[in-house]
Amino acid sequence: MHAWETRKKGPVYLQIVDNILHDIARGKLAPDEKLPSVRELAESMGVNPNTVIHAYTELERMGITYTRRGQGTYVRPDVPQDLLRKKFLEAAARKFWAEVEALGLSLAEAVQALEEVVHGGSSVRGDQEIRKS
Amino acid sequence: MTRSFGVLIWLEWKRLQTLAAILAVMVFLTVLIPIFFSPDRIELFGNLYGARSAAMAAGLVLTLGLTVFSWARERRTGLFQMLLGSPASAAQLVLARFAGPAALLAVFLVVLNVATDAALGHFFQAKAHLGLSALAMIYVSGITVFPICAWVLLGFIFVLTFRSSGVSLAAMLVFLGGSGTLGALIVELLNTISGRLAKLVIWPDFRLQPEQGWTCVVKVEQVYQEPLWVMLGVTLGCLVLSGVLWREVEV
Amino acid sequence: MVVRLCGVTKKYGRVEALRGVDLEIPCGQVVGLLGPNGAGKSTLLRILAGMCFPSTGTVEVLGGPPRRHRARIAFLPEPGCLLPWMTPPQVERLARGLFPDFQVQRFRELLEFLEVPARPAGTLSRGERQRLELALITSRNADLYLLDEPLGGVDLVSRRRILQGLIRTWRSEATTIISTHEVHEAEGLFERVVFLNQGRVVLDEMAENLRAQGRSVAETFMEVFS
Repeated sequence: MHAWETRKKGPVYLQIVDNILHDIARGKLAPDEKLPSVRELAESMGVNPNTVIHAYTELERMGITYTRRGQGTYVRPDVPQDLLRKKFLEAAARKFWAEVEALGLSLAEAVQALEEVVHGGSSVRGDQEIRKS
Repeated sequence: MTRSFGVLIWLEWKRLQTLAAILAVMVFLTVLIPIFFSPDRIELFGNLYGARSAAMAAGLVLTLGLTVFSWARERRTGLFQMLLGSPASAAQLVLARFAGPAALLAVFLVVLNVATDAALGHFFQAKAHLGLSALAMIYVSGITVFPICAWVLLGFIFVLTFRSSGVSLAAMLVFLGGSGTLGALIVELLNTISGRLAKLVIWPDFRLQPEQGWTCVVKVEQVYQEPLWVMLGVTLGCLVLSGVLWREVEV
Repeated sequence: MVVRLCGVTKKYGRVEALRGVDLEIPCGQVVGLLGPNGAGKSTLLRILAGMCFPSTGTVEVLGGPPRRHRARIAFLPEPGCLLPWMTPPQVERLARGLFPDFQVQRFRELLEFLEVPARPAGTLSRGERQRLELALITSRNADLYLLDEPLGGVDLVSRRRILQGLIRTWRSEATTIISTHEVHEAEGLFERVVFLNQGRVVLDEMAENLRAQGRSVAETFMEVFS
C-alpha cells in the first residue's frame, strides 16, 4: 500500500478497497492474515480514519474480510483469491487491448508483443532503426 | 485553580526578568554615580536625592512602557488568544497581569530607597531608619504605582474590547478623557477628606543642618492615611472593571 | 450539533469579513475550511473559539456561547501561540497550568514523533514551530479542535508530519475544523469541505461525494476559486 496516493479521482474508500483486493490477489495478503489497523493505515496514507473504517466495512460486506472482536480485521480463509486474480487480470487485459486497438494493431501482433516481452527481447528493433525508416 | 495562577505568575516573571535586571543595575548606578562624581559631601547629598528621583521616574516609565509593549506583542504572537481561550478565570488573568509590573515596581522603589538611605546614613554618620524607608515606599506604591498599573491595564483591556469595531483611537480618547475627569474628582475628594484619620508615622527624611557644621539628622514625618485607602480603592475598582471588560475582549 | 452558526456577519469597521454564514457541524466530523486569503476563514474560526463575537447572527458551540465552553475547545490561532523564549519543556509547563485536559505523556510522545528540537521557539524554523504548536494543541482532550492554517508556509515534510500527527491523535468523538489553502496534502483527511469566498459559504459538500463525481477536493478548489 503506497502512502499519500489519494489524489486520484474517485472516493478514497474505494481506492483503499481496491488496494486491499489487489494485495490479496497478488498474495501480499494471505487468507487469515491481519489487515493493518485503522490508525496505521490512515497514518501511512494520510487519510481520515473514518474513511479507512468505511473501506473495512465495505470489505466485510463483500465477504472478503471478517472482524475478530478486539483484535482487528482479518482476510477470510475462504477468500476467493483465484476469482480476484482473474478479475484483476481481466482489467489489465482490457487496458492492454484498448491500447492495441488504439494503435490499430491486430490480436496476433498483440499476442506476439506479449510473448516477446515475456521471453525477453523486443519486437521493436531499437531506436536507431526507427529513426532510419 | 492555584495551578493556573501559578503558571500565570511564572509567565509574568519570565516577561519581567530582563526588566528586573535593568532595574537592579539602575539601583546600583543611582548609588554609585553620585558617590564617585560628587566633589564634596554637600554635593553628594543633593546628587543622591536628585539621582533617586530621576531613577524613580525612569523606572516607572520604563516598566509601564515595556509592559504595554510586551502585552501588545503577546496579542500579535497569539499567546493572548491562548490565555483568553484557557479556562482560567478573568479574575486570575487580570490579577496576574497587574501583579507582575506592580510588584516589580514596588520592590524596585523599596530597594532603591533603602540603598540610597543607607548610603546617606553611611556618609553622614546618621542612623538611617531603613525599615521606615521601606515602609515609606510601600506607602508611595500604594498611592501611585498600584493605581497607575491597574489603570494602564484597564486602558489596554478597554482598547482591546472596542478595537474590533474599528474605533481604537476613539476608545483611547474616551478612556483618557474619562480618566482625566475621574482623576480630578479623586484629587478633589482627597483634599476634602484628608486629615480626619490619625496620621501614619512612616516617613524618614534626611535633613542637613548647616548651623551644626553640616551634620545630618533624620526626621521622622507623618503622612495622611486617607490617600492610601482611596488609591487602593481606585486600584481595586480598576481591577474589577478590567475583569468585567475581559469577558468582552476581542482578539 | 457541535457547531451551529446562524446568519453570522462580522464587520471590522466598514470591512465585512463574514456575510451571513449558516453552518452546522455534527459531532465527530473532520471539516476542511477552504478558501483564498481574506475569505474569512480566520474570522470564522476565531468566532467559533470565542475570541471575538459576531456583529449579527448567533453562534452556538457545544450547545452554548463559545466562551462558556472554552475549556473544551482547543484553538490554534494563525499567528501561533508561543513566545520566542519558550522551549518545549516550558510549553509543557504552560499547558499543564492552563489546561486541565492536557495530557503530558501524549505531548512528550508527539514531540518525539514530530521531531521537534528541544530549543526555544524563536530559534525553530517555521515548520518546527508549527509542529510544536500542533503537539501542544492536540495533546488536549478537547471536544472541538480549531486549527487555523496549521500547514501554512511550511515545507512538504513538515506538512506530512503534521497531518500524520493529526491522524495519530484522532479521536472519533472529537470534531475538528482545519482551515488551509494547502489542499493537496490535506485532501484525504477531510470528511467534509466548506469553501469560503469573500465571507460567504460558496460550497459545502462531503469530500467523498465530490470524489464520486470524479473531482478531487483540490480540483474543486481550483474550479470554485478560479
